[in-house]
Amino acid sequence: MTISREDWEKRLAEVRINKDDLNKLIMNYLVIEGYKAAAEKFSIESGLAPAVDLASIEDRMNIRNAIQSGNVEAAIEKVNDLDPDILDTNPRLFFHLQQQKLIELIRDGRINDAIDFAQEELAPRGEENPEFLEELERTMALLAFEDTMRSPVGDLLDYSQRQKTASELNAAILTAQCQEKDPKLPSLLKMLVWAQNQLDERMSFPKVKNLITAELDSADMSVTL
Amino acid sequence: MTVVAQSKHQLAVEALARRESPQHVREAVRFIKNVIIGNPTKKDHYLHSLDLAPRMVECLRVFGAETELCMEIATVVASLANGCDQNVATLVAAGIMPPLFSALSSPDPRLVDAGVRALRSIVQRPALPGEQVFELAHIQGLTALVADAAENPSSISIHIAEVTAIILARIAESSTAARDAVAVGGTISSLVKWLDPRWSSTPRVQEAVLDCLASLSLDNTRVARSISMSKLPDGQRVVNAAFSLVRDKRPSMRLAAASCITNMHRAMAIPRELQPSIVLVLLPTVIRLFSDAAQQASAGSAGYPGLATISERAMALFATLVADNQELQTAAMEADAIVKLAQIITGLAAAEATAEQGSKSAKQAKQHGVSWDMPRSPDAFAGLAVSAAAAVDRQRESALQAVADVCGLKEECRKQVIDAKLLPHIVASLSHHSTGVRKAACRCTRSLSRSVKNLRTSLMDAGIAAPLFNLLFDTSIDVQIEASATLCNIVLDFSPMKKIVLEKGGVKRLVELVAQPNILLRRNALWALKNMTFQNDSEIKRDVMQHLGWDKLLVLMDDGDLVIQEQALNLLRNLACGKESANIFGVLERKLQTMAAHPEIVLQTLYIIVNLGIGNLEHKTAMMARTGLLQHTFAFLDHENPQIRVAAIWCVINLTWMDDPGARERVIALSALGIEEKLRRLVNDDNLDVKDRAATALSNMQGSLSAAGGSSSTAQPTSATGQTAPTVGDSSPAAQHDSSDTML
Repeated sequence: MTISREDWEKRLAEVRINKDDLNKLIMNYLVIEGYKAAAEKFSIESGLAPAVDLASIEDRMNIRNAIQSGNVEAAIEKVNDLDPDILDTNPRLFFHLQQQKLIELIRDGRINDAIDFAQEELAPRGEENPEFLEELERTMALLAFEDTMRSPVGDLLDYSQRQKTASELNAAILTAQCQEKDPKLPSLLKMLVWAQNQLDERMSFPKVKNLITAELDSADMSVTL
Repeated sequence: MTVVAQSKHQLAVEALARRESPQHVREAVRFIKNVIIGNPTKKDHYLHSLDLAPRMVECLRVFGAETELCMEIATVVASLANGCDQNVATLVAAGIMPPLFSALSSPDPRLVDAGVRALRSIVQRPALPGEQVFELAHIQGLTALVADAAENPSSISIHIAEVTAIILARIAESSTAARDAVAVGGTISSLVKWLDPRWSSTPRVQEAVLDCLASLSLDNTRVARSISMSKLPDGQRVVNAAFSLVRDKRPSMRLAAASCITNMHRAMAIPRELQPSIVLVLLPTVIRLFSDAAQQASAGSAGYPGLATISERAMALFATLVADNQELQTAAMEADAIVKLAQIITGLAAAEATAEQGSKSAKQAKQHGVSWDMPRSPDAFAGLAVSAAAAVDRQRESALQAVADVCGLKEECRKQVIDAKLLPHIVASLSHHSTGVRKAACRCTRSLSRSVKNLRTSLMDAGIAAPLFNLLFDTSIDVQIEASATLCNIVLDFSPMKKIVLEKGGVKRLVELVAQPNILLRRNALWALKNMTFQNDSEIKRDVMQHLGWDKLLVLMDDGDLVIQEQALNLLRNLACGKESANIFGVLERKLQTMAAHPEIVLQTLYIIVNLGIGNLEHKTAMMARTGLLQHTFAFLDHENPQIRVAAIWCVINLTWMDDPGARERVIALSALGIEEKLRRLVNDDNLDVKDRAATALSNMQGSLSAAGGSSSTAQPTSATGQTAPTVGDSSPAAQHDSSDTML
């Protein structure tokens, strides 16, 4: 079965999309991805009030950057200024931030500080939640190796570990602001691709192959089933 | 300079004490804030070792105009309060509340926000003596905050409204008076504005408002109806908005909306067209929320430590929803609620077993030096493990309570509880270390024991009698109350467990409980004794009389509590078997005289007289000699309550059986009292029972007068009425009356 390009476009034209919904979708993307200035401009031009305080986007980005550059303490202070409930009501996240701080101390070769910090801050958290102990022990194992990078726990020193911690914190801030962890636009595009693939199994139709131009591709229209 | 090195924490608290300048203090407070957030051990250290609370109160007083500083202090207060109940008690005792209230009138919304956060963290702990702290002016100030924000929405003012609604909800929960205080004026209309779909992008304020509306409508019909019918800005009613929000994607929103609807439902404030949605939408939503448990109950996930989880609250809400409602109990069973509860209870029991194992091995590890060497707080581990265990206990308690309420009325629901293999868990829970769990397990047992079949089989086989009996000696009076109420059903005559309770010394213990000061405990214990003596087993009766004695029983019959009086008379009625003395007649006469306005007392008294009238010639003669008693008794032949008329007629019947010795003399004496005339009128009574009994009595009297006694062809006690005449005990007309309230 085949649907002609003409017919397809006619059907597409019948679909009504609310302009307001589109604006919200864009605002959602800008806010969650942290484009504060763009969100501000877009808010003015579209007349759409953002669901969160735009200043908090910048705070969130600063917090993320602080973790990514290894400054966990600054990140903790900033997040406590932004919303003191986040770390107070989220023991797992708080433990991961403290663990990251321990990793940074070890990375800097401040071994005595690292041991003091682990005893003072991390051990009590492990006692409150025994499920954290394994991760704590793994982190402490870094101290046992001469060449930490090549050790079996070397992955903790990777940039990806900072990234992981930063993402977890970012997600918690978004949750506290009643925002989704991920913007809706990418999932919408994924749904488009999936729906096209499903339909493709049954019939031939003009597809969107290039998501950036969103042009209808009728190259394979010659093939009919 | 001090010689002993001070910790950085001591130095920070000292800065608050010195109050050199607002900047110095602010720096110290910020330091403390970033130390204690997320750190329960440090919170405890600052409050209970370094005495931070009074220092903060003093700083708030001295530096009240320093907005930034006060904000930081309020944030520290909130975080300390988030720690545990003890922290809240310490803060409140130090006088933190008045300066927090002052902060709410600040022109700077950031300080107001920090202030309401701190108040929220304090009031959401049960440790707070709610009413003592909040005055009307405070409540008015808080409601104004909710109203203002909707007029002037900004992300901070919306947050203030959210947190304030939670505070108001907790205040409203504390008492009916508090609910009325919160519900006055425009509070409800300021709250419901937030349910408008316009605020759907700030769901937390909507959840907080639903939570608050639910608290306000708790057991409060007038407020529930007014909330239900209030209109949102878009014109829809609150009740409709709640039914849309109960389908929300956020579990916390669904729970808040469900609580609101449940309270409206109990207040009969759900409009007819939405009634079907209770079974179709509300009930399945609440049941689905049970199993959000798994993720949320696990340690380390978000939430205020030590506060109820969604699953726990959902099960408690479910119990409230289905209690005393047959239709919903059946619907809940059909929606697999019992199966789900069984899964949760089984899972919790398994988790508890693992945790016990784990804590043992952790302690061993500690002894062997494997664990982190902690220079301080050696009890920290035990203490915090306890708080995690407490969360599991509360979960188990809610689940058991839900089981108790879902099988309270329907036999099919009880059957499913048995089939779900919950009984072994219930039996084990009767000996659980948590008071709440033991109580809930008693309630489950009580619900299950309302079934004669269960009493004879499942409950007996599960060995429930012994652990239940032990709870009569529980350290908690509440558990003793529940256990004694449950025991009432266990000792009914057809229950094989009666024997076990008797062998364990049940009579002795129940008599001891009757002497306790707690009224509920006394009522239940007396009730259980009454049920034990329900049948004519003179050994039990002797046992009861030996432990209780006439004197105590006579005192109980004059108790200040009507229920106790009634039960005492009821017990006497069961016990009365010719052991009467002039003393008893005196009591009975006085009862009929002084308690004439209390039908239940009159009825019990009359049936004792009925039972005494069965005795030998000596007893009957003694009774006939009490003209006052007879006059009072037969005055009730004209009573408006047919049950009482019947009882009074039975008194006549038992004194006039014509084969009994001395019947003729008694009939003559009774006729002189005008009884025959009254009976003639009663033969035409509207009530069939009254009519029949009056006819029997009349034929007795006439027979005695015509035949000079001894004719075997006339009515016999057992055949004349087609019913066993009242003998001692309760297997007679009295039993018919009594069976309705025998089970608890």
